[in-house]
Amino acid sequence: MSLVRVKIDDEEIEVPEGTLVITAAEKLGKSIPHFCYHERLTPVAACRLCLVEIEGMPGLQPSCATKVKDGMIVRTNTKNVLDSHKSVLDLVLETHPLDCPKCEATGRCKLEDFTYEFGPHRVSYYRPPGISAYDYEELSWSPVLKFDPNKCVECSRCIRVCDEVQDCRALVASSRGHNWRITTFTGGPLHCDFCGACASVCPTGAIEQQPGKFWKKDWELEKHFVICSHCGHGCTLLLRGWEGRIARIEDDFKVGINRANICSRGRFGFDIISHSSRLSKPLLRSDGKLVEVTWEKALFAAMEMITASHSVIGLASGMLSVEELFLFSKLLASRNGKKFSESRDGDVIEFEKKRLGRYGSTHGFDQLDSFESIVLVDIPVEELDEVLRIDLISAAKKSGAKLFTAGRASFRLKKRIAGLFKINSQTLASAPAKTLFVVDTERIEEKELSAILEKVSSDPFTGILFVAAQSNSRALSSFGFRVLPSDEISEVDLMIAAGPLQMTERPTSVKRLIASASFRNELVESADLVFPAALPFEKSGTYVNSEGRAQYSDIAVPMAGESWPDAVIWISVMKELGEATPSTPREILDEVRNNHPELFERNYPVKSSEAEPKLPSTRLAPPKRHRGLLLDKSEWLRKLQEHLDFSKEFSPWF
Amino acid sequence: MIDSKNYAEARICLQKVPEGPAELEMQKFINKREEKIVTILKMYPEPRPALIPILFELQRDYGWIPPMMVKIVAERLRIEPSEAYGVATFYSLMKTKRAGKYVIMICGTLSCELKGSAEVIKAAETALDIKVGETTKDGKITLKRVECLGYCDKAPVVQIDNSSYCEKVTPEDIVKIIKRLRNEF
Ligand code: SF4
Ligand code: SF4
Ligand code: SF4
Ligand code: FES
Ligand code: FES
Repeated sequence: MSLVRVKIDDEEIEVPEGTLVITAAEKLGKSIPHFCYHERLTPVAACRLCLVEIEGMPGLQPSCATKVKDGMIVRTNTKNVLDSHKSVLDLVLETHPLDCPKCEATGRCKLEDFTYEFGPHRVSYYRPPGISAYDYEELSWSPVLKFDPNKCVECSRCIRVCDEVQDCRALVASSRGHNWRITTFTGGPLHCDFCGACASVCPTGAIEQQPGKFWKKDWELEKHFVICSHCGHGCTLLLRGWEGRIARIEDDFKVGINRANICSRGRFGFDIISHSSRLSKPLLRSDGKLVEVTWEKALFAAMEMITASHSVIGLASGMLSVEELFLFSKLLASRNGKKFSESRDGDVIEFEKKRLGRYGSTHGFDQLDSFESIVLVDIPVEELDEVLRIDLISAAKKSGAKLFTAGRASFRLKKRIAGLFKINSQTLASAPAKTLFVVDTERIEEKELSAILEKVSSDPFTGILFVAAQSNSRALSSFGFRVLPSDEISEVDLMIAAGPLQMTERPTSVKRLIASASFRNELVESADLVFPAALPFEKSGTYVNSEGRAQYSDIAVPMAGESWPDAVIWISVMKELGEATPSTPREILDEVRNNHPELFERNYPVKSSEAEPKLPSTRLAPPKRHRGLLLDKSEWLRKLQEHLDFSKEFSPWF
Repeated sequence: MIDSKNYAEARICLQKVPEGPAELEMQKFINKREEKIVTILKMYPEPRPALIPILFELQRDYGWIPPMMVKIVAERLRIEPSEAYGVATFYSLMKTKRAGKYVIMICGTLSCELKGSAEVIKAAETALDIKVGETTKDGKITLKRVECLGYCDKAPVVQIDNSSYCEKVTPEDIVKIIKRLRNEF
């Protein structure tokens, strides 16, 4: 792309052709006020707040809809321009309730910021008595979103994000002129998935999240980037919290692979970490009852149980991090234990490795638009990976990629599906060039999989994307975890279960059960020894997503009660058993990298990410101290801090 | 955490049933007009642009456009109900609220406003004993304030239904107009 030179307020800058004036000005660090312009959305030039002077053009021009030309001279700070900002804001403020002290958006509100910066510092329009601001009722659109029509500045960002990005169109504009209003169908409850994108792009407090409302002012909240743990996409979340509590989850367009898309699980599922059934102390079964014990006692009991058992099996969750899976598999290996998981991901990838000699997906989420057709092989995309659905839609829009389904059709993609694709050797042989197969690892059948892999190996323009069900199930195959056969576990003395599992009761053929778990559930009730485990956000670790990209997630909140990350639990158990084990985060990761380089093949960033280096702005507050452990919590955290430099390589935000 | 108050609020919102007939009743009404709909659909290369003529056609027979009608038509044309609702509310000639037999539309845009349409509206409100946007108790007359009717040189302008225009209307005129409409019943 050719570069053009523009001059903005006597400063010159070179930008690619087709750049918007407002973007070029932003690069020079100039603030042009804007409401309707948003970097993710098509410009509509509706609010007229971003007007600037451009030499050779009559009047004032909207900088959000004007593209730069070579030699263009732009002025953003003449009296004329500043007056126009002032009068547009004045008109908005005429009807706006000046509720800032009791508005949830205060501190991140654009109207507040721009008025502060550009004026008017005294509203000039006269409001006749009785006719003041709008007086509409606040609407509760859903348990997580609310809408206050009075605070809407009519920028239509919410409509556009719902239409262009989410492909949902749950929000529309009703009426026109003075009565123009954002509305749902008949003004009733929202019929959508509550992704929260509309609240995220709203420049004011009109659309707000319900959870976290009035908990803390925006400027009191810390910022932490973390990797979402709800599915295999690996989205970066911007966690806003204070004193170890989470107030809200935000998105950041410049950081991470998800380009500011977050599904409702990621955005609103954060309260799980403060759920009332969280375990806070180790539990040991004595006289048939689970009783709370100290960590020393629990670790000693674990040692006794493990040494007394002749046959051991391990069941790992796909939500444990790479480091944790590694340590857990090390523990099992030291006892000749078989490794199982609830996910089929490990088996499928192993199958692929045998067939193709390669590991995991051939293409990443950022390469979807390089395909001409994409076949969704019996995969309910929105249930498994909602952000992938958004990526597919944007690929279909951007490059005209055609979507086909084989088997079950995805409900929310229905309108975009071009046709059916039956998978057999004939159709595959005549499949169009540049086809990507999107496969659900939990459901794909062997016959279909081998046919597709055949095609992939013979045709360099065909790709396969294995969609993982859990945040780290892609790493299971590297450590040799296979799916647990449903009925045929032969008599075993001990089963060790690590991480969040779906299993609800201990298999009858298992004599004893040690579990690390975060919540009190049926499996925990049937265990003999339970370690309270920290959840994602409370621990750090590396996660490998569906595309095979390793991403490091940071600690954002202190661990609940006396819980510990699984990594520390299994290190401590191994130490108790007298096994050699790496014990600092850095040593662990070093060892994993040396032994399993395939997990780190696709590091961040892969290509053309315009992400600017960013640092989490605040660091963790010192956590509560616990005594009587092999590792001191603050010691562990200090080591993590050192480790952080080292993990930069696969952190989206460094 | 989501507190119970939010859930309670949300439930109130979810319980708000939109006004109008039930789905089955509306479906029956629309089915009877299938032929007309097909004719309209044939006029366009794709279903989407047929939305406005179909809604108008159905409104002519039904009197107004209830939410259920919007929903059924939208699903038929494979667009989101909310989108169709946005279109229906955009045009003042589409009545998305239950309307009376006669609709009095008083222009409230600049020229008419300067020429005193506010007083005309007030007089109409008193004469009908309703507020702008409402329908009289007997269901006969609906009063609406509308945007420019394109007849500014004869401001203030009042339109009755989709046909007659009244020009240079004074508060006394509107009372007379209302009386005449009433006498016609
Ligand atoms: S939306 Fe912004 S300007 Fe309006 S009341 Fe809230 S903080 Fe103040
Ligand atoms: S929550 Fe998401 S899908 Fe629902 S209206 Fe907002 S942007 Fe649209
Ligand atoms: S609700 Fe928010 S995003 Fe939507 S138009 Fe109003 S101010 Fe803009
Ligand atoms: S931001 Fe340019 S017109 Fe709204
Ligand atoms: S302003 Fe009333 S008709 Fe134009």
